[in-house]
Amino acid sequence: MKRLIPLIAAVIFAGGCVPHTELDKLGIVEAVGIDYADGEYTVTVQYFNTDASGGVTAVDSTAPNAVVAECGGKTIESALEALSYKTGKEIMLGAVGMIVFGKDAAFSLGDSLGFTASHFSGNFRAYIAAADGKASDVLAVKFKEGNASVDKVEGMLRNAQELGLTRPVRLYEAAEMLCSPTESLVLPRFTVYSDGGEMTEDGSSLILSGGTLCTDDKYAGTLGVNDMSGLAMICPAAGSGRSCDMSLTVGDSEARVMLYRIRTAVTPSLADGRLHLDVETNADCKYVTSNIGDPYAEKDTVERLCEEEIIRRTSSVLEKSLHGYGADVFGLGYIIRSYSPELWDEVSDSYREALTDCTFSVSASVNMERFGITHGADF
Amino acid sequence: MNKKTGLTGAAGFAAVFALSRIFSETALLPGVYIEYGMQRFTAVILSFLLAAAVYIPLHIATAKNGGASPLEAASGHNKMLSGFVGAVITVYLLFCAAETGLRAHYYASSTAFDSAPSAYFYILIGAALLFTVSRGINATVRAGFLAAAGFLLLLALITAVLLPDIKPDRLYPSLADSPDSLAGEVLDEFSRSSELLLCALLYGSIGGRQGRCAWIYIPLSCAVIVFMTFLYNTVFGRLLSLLDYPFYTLSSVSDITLLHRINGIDVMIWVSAAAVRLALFTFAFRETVRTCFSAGKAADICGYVFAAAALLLSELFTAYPELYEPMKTVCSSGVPLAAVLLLLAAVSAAGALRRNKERKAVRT
Amino acid sequence: MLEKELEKNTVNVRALMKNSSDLTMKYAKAGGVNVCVISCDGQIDTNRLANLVYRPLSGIDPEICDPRRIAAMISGELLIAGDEKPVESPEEIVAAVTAGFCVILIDGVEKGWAIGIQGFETRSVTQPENHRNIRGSREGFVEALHTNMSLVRRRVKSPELVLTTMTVGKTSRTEICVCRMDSLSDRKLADEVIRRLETLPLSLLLESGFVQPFLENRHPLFSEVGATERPDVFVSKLYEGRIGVIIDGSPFALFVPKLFTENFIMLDDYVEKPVFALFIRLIRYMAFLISILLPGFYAALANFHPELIPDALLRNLAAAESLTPYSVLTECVILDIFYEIMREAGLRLPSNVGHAVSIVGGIVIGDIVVSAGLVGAPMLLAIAIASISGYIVSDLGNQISLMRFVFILAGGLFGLFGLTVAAFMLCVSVCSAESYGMPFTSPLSPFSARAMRDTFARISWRKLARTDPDIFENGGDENE
Repeated sequence: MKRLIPLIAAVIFAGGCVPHTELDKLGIVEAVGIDYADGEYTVTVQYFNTDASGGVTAVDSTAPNAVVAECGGKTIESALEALSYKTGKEIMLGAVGMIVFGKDAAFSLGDSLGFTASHFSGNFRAYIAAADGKASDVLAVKFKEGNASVDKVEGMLRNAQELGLTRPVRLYEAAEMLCSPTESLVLPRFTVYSDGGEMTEDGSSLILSGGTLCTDDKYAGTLGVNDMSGLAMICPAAGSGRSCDMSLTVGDSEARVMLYRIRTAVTPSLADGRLHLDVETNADCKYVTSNIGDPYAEKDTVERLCEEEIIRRTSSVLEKSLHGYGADVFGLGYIIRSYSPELWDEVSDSYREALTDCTFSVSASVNMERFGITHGADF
Repeated sequence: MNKKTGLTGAAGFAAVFALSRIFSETALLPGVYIEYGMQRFTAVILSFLLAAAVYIPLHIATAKNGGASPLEAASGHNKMLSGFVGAVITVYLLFCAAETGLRAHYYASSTAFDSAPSAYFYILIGAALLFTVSRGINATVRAGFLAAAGFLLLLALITAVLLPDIKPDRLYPSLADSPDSLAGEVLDEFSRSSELLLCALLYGSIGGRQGRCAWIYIPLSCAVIVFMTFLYNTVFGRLLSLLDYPFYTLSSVSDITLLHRINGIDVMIWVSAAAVRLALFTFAFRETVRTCFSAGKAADICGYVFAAAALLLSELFTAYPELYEPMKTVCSSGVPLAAVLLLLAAVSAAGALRRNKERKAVRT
Repeated sequence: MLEKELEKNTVNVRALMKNSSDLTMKYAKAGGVNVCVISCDGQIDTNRLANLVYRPLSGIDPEICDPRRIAAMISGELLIAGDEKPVESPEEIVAAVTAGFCVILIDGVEKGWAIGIQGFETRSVTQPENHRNIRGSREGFVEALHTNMSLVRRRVKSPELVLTTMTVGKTSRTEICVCRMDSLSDRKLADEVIRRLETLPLSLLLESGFVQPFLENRHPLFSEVGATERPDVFVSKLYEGRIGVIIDGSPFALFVPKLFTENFIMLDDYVEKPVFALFIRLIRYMAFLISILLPGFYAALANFHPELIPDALLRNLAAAESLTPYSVLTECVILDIFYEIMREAGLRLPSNVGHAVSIVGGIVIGDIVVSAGLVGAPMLLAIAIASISGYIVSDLGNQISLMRFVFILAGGLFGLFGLTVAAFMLCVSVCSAESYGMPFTSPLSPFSARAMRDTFARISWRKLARTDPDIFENGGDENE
């Protein structure tokens, strides 16, 4: 006990010297929007307002519990610092679920992401997205239940991913992509429409409108929804199953099918001194809904249509990214270097030119396996 | 019942040495990065083969000496030799301990424990270390064993959580991506295996068949580190070469739902491992002082002084980064090789001296 | 030594007993010789005294006048009580009389006979209060040593069970019984226990807890001596090679050595299916960890590492904290101390008042404190869960309370780093404990794969029955 008393005393007296912040003094940032104009960053944060959600004794229970604040600065860090003065809260980035880059801020992404990635509490699983215009507009969309909450936007991304329409990117994946030889990356793109959305208070609505392609670590251009679907087929996001929904027109009828177990193999080779890529996609397929009279009879047609659609989507994204921007967003450099080191030696010096100049052949093979309950017994 | 009650067996020691080895793998020195690529697998496996190759002669020499610990064998016959070996090993141990403190401090303060000021870090770690040393080597090894079990659970948890993020197609058939740097990498990996020296120095404290310790420690650490490299490569890919602490980042991206991420628990394990590692070096030092300088009871006090000195040295390295750079060079240039070889040379020399004496005795 | 004259002997005994009021001396004639029957009031059964002593004595032929002949009859021929031993000094007489014997002294003989006719009031065998179980015997130890010994013997009707009684305590002269299974226990261990008991420096022994510290190895927090109220548990421990000690006057029997993992093993585990045993044991380990770590962990996360908390939970916690005036650490300390006060109050009060404490505690702490905005609801929940979890491992109740408090301070003041250092030091401290050569933390560390048959999981009885349990083998594997 004699030894214990000084120990306890030391612990209690020394304890105050370790700095800490009480939970209610924290500005728990859920989403960050980054815009850039005239040499200055504008950072918009959506943070949780503890004063508004504490029930009956809250200071103001009618106030929305997600507050949006914005501040400018020469760097993102200085803007965040200014925000902490402005809001009176200590900005806590550990719970950031979404980082949105405005169109003009989509450059030097590696450095821009540093504000959270290099911080010990940064959330490496945060989703990274791009805005069609300004990032602050995305965060300011007012749904009826509050601001465009991270949960809601995350949900949109997740659903689109399950339908095979986009490829969500988390922070560590984005950082990994930026390490590619062409420093290329595709981010899902949000667009704010002011066309009277039913779910929102002010009539604006938020949709996923494809992707933003950055190469050489700066904004290059946009990809459409179908391009994003092709991208997701070639290289899906971590943790996602490879599947894709497609709507097809079979004669006069409409059918929705789902492709699953999508497997894409890219084989690089050198043909006539040019890089040639052989992209082969295999997938299984099933009906989701259809009003086709005899789905089994239309099996071959549906398979063919699916194959055509796959080829269209993958060719489109390959065409745009490789020939259009010379951007390797598929990790091709990776594959070439790992599996054909000799080839890599030849193309690595002028990789971007090699990509712009490359040829590719795309093939697909779809196998219809399941036909639903009513027609399952026919074969 | 174990006849040598109170002694922990070779497997327990091997597990703790492995934890200690993996600590230096995880808590990298600042400025040291793990290169992405298949070469790392080769480097790890080669470095452990090298470790085994270095240990085999020592093992044989020990067996020839009738099972006496290498340190006893090296110092039992000649005071000069004993003093020299003791002095060199003391310097080496102090260096290793200071390096451990430095690693732990950088790791903790640049990750989840950034709020702890440097002085408090060293005071608290120092308190834990002195307490651990006062409780004896068996308690330390038992506690270290529990920490090792905790690490294995954490690794299993991380693997389970990150299973969907593992992209096996990032592995490709290659043994050496850039053969020029392979030798350097192997030496660097090998330099982290200071525990090989602990296997030799703490020989007398190991219960059961002491010889087995290194033969469990080497494959065990190798397997775990290869598995960790597999995780790094398949989860992070090219990003790996930019990460300060890959294992910490692995735990940072592991969302176990109950906790948003488990990097806090990760750092808890490595801080404990640092305390265990420091304590092991302290015990090794005590053993050296006791054997080489016949210190007797004074060795215990020397142990406390050693622990305090090691932490002060770490603090010094933290405060003066210009001192740290040469240290980093020494750290990655195969110093353990030299220390173990020194011990081996000493054992052989002592053996030769003894045989000479015996021969003389027979003649007279 | 006793004198020949009866009168001198009785005077000596009376003087030794300081003429105590409960000393009774009945003078009578057996045959033609004067005898005196000495007993202690309240310690003997009067019916047995009349039937087993007075009746045989009065039946002796009055013609017989030789004291030696009478002595021979008492010691051999007459059917007096079964428990009979000779006494040869006034001190021995006093010891026997105070232990519930009656002593027959014969005029002209330098010897007496102590006859066991103990008959004091004892509590009957009832269900134990503390170690309840669902299936299994309802018998618990009582205060009387011999009843307890019979409870043990009834469960092992084999000469393997060796019961050795001894008397310790200069003043209280308490009887102690050392129990062991002859071929299963380590003889050296038994000798060590007996040596420690014989050299016990206490003069008054009121409870087994008085003996316990002398059997322990001075660890500040954990005891390597187990205590149980259940004869079945006691016997099972003996069967694992442990040495048991029963102390007269205490319903708690002790056994050594005890390992850390034994705190998580209950008798019920052995009567349920192994899968349930595994589940419930894991729950117990989890409850132990929750109980000591949860409030400290909460304080550490809330103060230093909020990014570790899942988003939705973090928002809830922050909202709750915004309503309270105190810091997380202060709340945590206040609540924990409140809880300990209530627990202590509930423990000592008579059961009818104890309800009042729980009502007041439940309403005041549970409701008003939160609605008055003094303490956040999540903090209250954390402390409540931690304290309820603490009851699951009832043997470690006190240790858990103390450790919880230390972890609250360490976590709240220094964050996870402080928690790590505290937990590591605790771990080293526990690992340094050894109980009669057995590491206290075995078979976890040093690890023994063989002992895992009955540590977290309990394998089926068919497999367990194939080998006799032997803790020394299990715990002493030492990773080999």
